[in-house]
Amino acid sequence: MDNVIWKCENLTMKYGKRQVLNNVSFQLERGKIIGLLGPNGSGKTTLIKLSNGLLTPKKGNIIIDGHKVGLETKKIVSYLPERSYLDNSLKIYQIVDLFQDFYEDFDVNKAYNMLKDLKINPEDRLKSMSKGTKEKVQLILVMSREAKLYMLDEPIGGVDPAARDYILRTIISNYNPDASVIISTHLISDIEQVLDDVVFIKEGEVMLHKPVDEIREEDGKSVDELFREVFRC
Amino acid sequence: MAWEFKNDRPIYAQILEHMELDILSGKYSPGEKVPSVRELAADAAVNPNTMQRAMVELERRGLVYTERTNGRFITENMDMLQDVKRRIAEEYIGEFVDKMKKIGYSEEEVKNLMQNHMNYERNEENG
Amino acid sequence: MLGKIIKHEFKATYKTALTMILSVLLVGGLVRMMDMVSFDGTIWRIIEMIMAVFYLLLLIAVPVSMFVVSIARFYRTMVKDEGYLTHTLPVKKTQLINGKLITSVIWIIISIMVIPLSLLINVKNSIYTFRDIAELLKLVFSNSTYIMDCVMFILLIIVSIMTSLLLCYASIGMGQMFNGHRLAGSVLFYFIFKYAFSFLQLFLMLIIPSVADMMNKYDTVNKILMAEDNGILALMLFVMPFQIILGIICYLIAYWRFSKKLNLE
Repeated sequence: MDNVIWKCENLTMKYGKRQVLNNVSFQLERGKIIGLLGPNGSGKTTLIKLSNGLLTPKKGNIIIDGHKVGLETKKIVSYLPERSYLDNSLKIYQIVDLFQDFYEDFDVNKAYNMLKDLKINPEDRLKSMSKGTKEKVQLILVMSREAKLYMLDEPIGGVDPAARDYILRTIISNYNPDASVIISTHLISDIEQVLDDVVFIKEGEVMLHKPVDEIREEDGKSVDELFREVFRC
Repeated sequence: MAWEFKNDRPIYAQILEHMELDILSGKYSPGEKVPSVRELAADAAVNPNTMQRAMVELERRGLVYTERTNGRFITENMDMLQDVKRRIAEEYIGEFVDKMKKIGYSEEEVKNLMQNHMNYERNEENG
Repeated sequence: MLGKIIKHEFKATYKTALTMILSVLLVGGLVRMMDMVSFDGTIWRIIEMIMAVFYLLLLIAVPVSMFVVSIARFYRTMVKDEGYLTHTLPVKKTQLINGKLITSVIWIIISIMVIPLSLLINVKNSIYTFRDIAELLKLVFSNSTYIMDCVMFILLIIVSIMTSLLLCYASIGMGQMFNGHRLAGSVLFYFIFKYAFSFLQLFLMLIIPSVADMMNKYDTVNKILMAEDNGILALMLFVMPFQIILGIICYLIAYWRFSKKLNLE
């Protein structure tokens, strides 16, 4: 199964009594940019947390590049959480040092180049930056790794349109046929053309897993339109 | 700048059209080297696999060709380009005539309207 | 990897730690200077006294603050938003716990050592001069029991610090289960663990001498425990194992909670 970068088998997750993921099984191929789409509480954030070892499943497991989620997968998965997760008191270059120290696949030059592109001064402290700039920094750190799997949770939510373009362009230019990118987002119409496949998750189950163009060809509508239909309130 | 796409049609098909127009409009000259798939994808802000799919089709149609180690190039086959130009023109005309008929004009009226329009344009240019 | 974790822990904490330590030394220096200058007049005396009291409070406060700051950092980096970075680093959970534990212990010990050091430098009528200290050390190192006592005492301090930290780590680990009230949960578990263990310790302390008495085999143990001039050794023999066991239990609880039961917001 060399083509599969990520798969889950009989994945079940509960928060107390609430069933968040219900015996989910599916797999994702290498060299694809995949959209993980669903409303809040659908289980997509849980799926991402499970993939990163931030939660332990009640049943089932997730296998990334042939390894169960753990130390080995953390080396090859680059994760961008939705929240601000860096030590605010540090300076940018200190955080870059930290990433370089812990991640073998971290490309320092790439990181500094991207910081320069976005006019961010490495001597600045995170504390002194706006929310949007902090998010850009977090994204730069994640994309500077030569990972096998990138998991981006709402990467373009809080940034201005110019930065949004830059981010999408970075994701596209970073593309390599061995690695995959999983993007979880609400802003479907903005990224639809960047995606290969989409996965719809609703109430802990996978509703749909198709290539973007197949949806357009077969359903005659965009993924965004289909999403609104499927998840109509 | 990211390319604009319509919602109801596959993206790769729209990329194909966009590329054809670029070639015909002279953005790429015959024989010119085409940028890499990744560059094109980043420029258009589309998925590289989708761009690749479009390029493969473009190649199948004969508008580009691949030189094994050097990359992709625009065809120099002028007849081929003329054919594509003609095909697209036919599509445009077909759409236009259909639309005009929908609002109630006959083919004769359409011809006259077109002639008047062209005369007007010419006068504007000269006058 | 452990080394890297320790390195980055120190990088992130040295500013706060050094600020605390230096301020103590500074205030101490001020007290010394005031002593030397010594103007007449009640107001000056009052100021001197206030400074001296402040200095002594600071001396005690610094190790305590260091402890609190270490725990606060542990909480922030393991359970709050920064946990998203900490727990996705390609390191073992044991390395995380060990790294933070070691760094905290080192800072706390340094801040404790600052006390006698600072007093030596800053108190004018020091009972001990440096020559006296040298004499005392020579005396200590000549007698093997004294050395043993000293070593054991130092070990006990280190073990106690580690166990206290681990107790907090375990409580924080357990507190995670209360989704909205993690901090309250941690505090709750802290008291539960602390009192449960104190109770157990007391209970065993009462039992063992009488059990030993009954058995009559452990005569030596009994003698050691009851003997007066072996006070410190007795303390070591009893308290140390309890601390070590408590420490190990807490470590295991913390490890379990952070590896299998991780639950960030």
